[in-house]
Amino acid sequence: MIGFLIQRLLVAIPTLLIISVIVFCLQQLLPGDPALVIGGGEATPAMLAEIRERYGFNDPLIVQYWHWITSVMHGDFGVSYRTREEIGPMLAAKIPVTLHLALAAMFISLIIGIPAGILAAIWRGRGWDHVVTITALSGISIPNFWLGIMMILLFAVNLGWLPASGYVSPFVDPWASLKSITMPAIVLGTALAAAMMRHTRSAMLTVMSQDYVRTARAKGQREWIVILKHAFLNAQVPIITLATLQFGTLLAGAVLTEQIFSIPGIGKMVVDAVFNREYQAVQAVTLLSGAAFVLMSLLADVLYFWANPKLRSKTL
Amino acid sequence: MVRRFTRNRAAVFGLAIVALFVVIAIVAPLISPFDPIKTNWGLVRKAPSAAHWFGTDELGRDVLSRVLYGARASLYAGVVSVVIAFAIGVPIGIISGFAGGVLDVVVMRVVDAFLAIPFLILAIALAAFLGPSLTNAMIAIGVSTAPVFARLARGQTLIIKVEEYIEAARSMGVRPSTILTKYIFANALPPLLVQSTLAIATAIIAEAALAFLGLGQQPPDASWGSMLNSARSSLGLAPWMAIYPGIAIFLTVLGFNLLGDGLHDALDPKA
Amino acid sequence: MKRIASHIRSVALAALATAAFGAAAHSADLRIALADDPDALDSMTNRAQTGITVLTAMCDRLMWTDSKLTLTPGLAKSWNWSADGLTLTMDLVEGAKFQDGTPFDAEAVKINIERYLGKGSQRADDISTIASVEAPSANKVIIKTKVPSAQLLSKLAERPGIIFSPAAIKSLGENLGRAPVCIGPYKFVERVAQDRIVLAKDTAYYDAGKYSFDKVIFRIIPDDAVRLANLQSGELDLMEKLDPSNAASLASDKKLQILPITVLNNQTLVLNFNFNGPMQNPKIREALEYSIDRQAIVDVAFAGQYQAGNQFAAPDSPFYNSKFPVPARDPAKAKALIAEAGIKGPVPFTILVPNRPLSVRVGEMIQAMGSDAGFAIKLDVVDFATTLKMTDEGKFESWGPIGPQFANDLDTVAFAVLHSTGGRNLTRYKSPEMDKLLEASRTATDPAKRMEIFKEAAALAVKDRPVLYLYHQKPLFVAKAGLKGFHTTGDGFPKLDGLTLN
Repeated sequence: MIGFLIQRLLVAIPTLLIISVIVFCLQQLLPGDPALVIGGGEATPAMLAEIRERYGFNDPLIVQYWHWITSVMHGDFGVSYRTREEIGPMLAAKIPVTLHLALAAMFISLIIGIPAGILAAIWRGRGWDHVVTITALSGISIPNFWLGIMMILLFAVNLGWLPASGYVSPFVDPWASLKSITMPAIVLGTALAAAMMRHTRSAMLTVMSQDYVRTARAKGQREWIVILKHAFLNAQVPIITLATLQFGTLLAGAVLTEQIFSIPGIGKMVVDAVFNREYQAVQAVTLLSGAAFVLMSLLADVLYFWANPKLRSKTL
Repeated sequence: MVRRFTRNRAAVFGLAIVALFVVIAIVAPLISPFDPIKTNWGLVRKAPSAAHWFGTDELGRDVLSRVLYGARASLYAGVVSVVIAFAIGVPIGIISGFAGGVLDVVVMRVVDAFLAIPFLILAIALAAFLGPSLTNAMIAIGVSTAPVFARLARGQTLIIKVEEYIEAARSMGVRPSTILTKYIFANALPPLLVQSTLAIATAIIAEAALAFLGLGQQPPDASWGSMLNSARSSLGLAPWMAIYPGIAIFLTVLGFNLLGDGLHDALDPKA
Repeated sequence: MKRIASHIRSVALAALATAAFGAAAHSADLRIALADDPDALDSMTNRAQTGITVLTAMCDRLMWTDSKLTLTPGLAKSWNWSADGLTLTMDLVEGAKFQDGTPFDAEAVKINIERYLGKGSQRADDISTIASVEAPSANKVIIKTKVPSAQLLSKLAERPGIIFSPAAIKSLGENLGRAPVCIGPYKFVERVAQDRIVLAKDTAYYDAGKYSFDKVIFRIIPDDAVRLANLQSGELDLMEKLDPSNAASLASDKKLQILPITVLNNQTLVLNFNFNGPMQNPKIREALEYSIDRQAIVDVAFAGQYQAGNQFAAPDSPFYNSKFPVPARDPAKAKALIAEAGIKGPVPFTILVPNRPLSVRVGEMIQAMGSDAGFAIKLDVVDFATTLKMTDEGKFESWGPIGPQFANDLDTVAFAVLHSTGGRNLTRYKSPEMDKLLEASRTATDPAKRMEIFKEAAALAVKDRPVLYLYHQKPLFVAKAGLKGFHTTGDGFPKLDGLTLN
């Protein structure tokens, strides 16, 4: 087990380093001279030169990379050119917001995806299976920014039930928080629910053809007990693993959702940063989401390994 | 295999939707009731009517005609970006998997790193770098999707390269380049095609998302995403401007997803 | 394990911190929606106008201008010029304190003006005529100028008139914009990037009685429709930048009121004279002018809420040269001019358009109007930051709609755009005649004379067409019907004194 963990960690480190290089290079490709953005349209050439000097834009790229990566290692993500705010604390304030949104969306995807997946597996090949499958595929096929717009139109503009945008922390006003997170969580959770449904269905189908399920059935146990106890409990492992992996995708999906609902999370931060040429903020968010993904995959591996006795004995 | 596909009603339905939109894209000039870029100052944001079934937009253009013409941009974007992703990803994956060793380790680490960066963030950053246009959006989406193809192609290569016929070909002195193209690529193709169909669905949504952010099709030409973008500011006034392009995206993407799923099941009866 | 625990702790702390920002609104709070995330809250470096909206609520200026652009007292309660027009003496209000408790005095004004003139300042050009600042006594400031300066007072009623606490300048340095400290009714409490800025009443402010709200919360909601939806659902009290298309449907809403304001500004199509293309030919520029129906742009893109124009001042301004009225659209004449210029077929030409819905709408209209008047116009829609780079490098044929906004003096809208050394002269327009006029306007301390000079400059710009003036915005604010006493500064920012909400 420990050997396996170490091996996975050793693989993760170069991946993280390569991510940091890609992230850094990407920023160099962005159009728009950051000195001009900082200086504004009215800046004189002398002012621009001074800005470039101060922010080190004249240094060779490798030097700029070294400065950046060493600062990041020390937890210093730099300062926003535009607002003069530090990016580190900004991220710290935004991560819980995106995490809240992601968890709420995950919750929605689980309560829709898992039951639907189980039902589709039970009714495999029959009419209901197709209904569930097509519904799930529809969930994947709806562009979530469009769904967001439609929900705002219906629930905020026409019916006035939910706020059109914004975010309230659950620690401040749980009820207002629930209202503010409902629409974004549904929008973000829909596609994920569809994915969960498909994974649950195929995991259940695999398990249901196993001997122990047949044995349980042969013993005359009631069907729903067979399905829930024997089949679903065993199908859990791949489902949990996939859910963990999907969490990374969720963070990415938050980009447009946060944009539409004006939620101050890291997704909105990165889009705004791209448009404002905030190199360091884009770098910080991209690096962070890459790292989150790597860690989540690591976690998924560990879960899978830990929950799968066969694999465990083979490696040990 | 064909029979297995045709028996799958959902898949056939998907194929029908895709075919319908392909036809629409091709004959858009023939069936559009109006010129999609013809403005009419007197008919701004008019609700759907007998003359304008889907209403008019903020410059008095016919929404139906724009949706029909928009099919061109969206399908084109979906297909071309996947071709780009395929052309970049598959050779990298096959060569890396076939060569093995240090090269494989290094290439796969880089691919993993790319995969770890959220797709949309990568595409937005690339599209912003290249400058907003339909072509650049396609390149950005293609490059961001390529790692998925590299991964899949490598996985298939690892399975295929230990097959006996590859060993046989090698011992007969067949050149590695021939083995790569004739044996490995040919055998890895079916799952790659399934992936391509699903990737087109994703790419169409991605193009719409980039256009929605102003990084795709440029005015006055229509794409579904850019129509949604301009509909956003007058949502309460003219909801039809947002509803119809959204439905068009939804149907097309659903079609490709159904088709991809059907192909997958037809190729792999175990699932 | 210990490290993980500390990470969990920091995440929990961060969550609590967010919780604190999200405080629910109180009835004595004023909730204002902004359309853009402000940049640094430091008037020395800031350039986006939303930042000034926040600073206007927080900070007094040395002087103010009202909606008629008349100067009114601020931190300077009175002022006078010497006979030679080279010395400005200001008497300051007494007993005022900065929001951190530091007493306000002439020395603070001197420190600030020198800061605005110094390295890294975006305002240095605004007040470049200043030669020296002296603080002979606690309440008296003397400014010496290099030449007589007609626009200096207006500038001191604008961003360079905001005075920050010398203690805060010293401790925060270039990061002053993170937590600015000035003199004014509301002090800075908190900022959550891209979400909100919270201000609280400074009870020690010398004029605090005129302000009725305990807290001012600025919420940042870039999406026009969402911003309006939030106001309609009661989450907000006031919002800026209503999409004019919505004005008609809101007029019948009894719960809301539309508050249009008049402020000096113009939106133009900038034609790059250095770009090797048809626009270098004056006849083609004239043809382009005849292809455009300005009133149609105002009617269709802005639902008739803005004002069509063809000069840097609006047609109803005293500075407008009425000898050159807005020309009517004449596609036939445009085609004839193109033929006269000896160009066959549609004239190809590209407009760089900032990626904002209303700007794109105008661009698309110009494109459509050009197509039946002998032009083949291509739009290059690019995000705003990129247009700045492209235009600065001269890599564009034309750029628009764009133009100076939120000015309180004609100098701001004319000099920078039309003078050969102007910071916003992206046309690269070089006319010795224009330079002479604009320079004369800066030293003309007699208002009547200054007005005549500006009218002559306007006529010259109409003839040379370095930019095509298209329209003048009338920014639309929307508020709850119960909001009373709304007014703005001369440069177009809401001022909160006397504002109440029932």
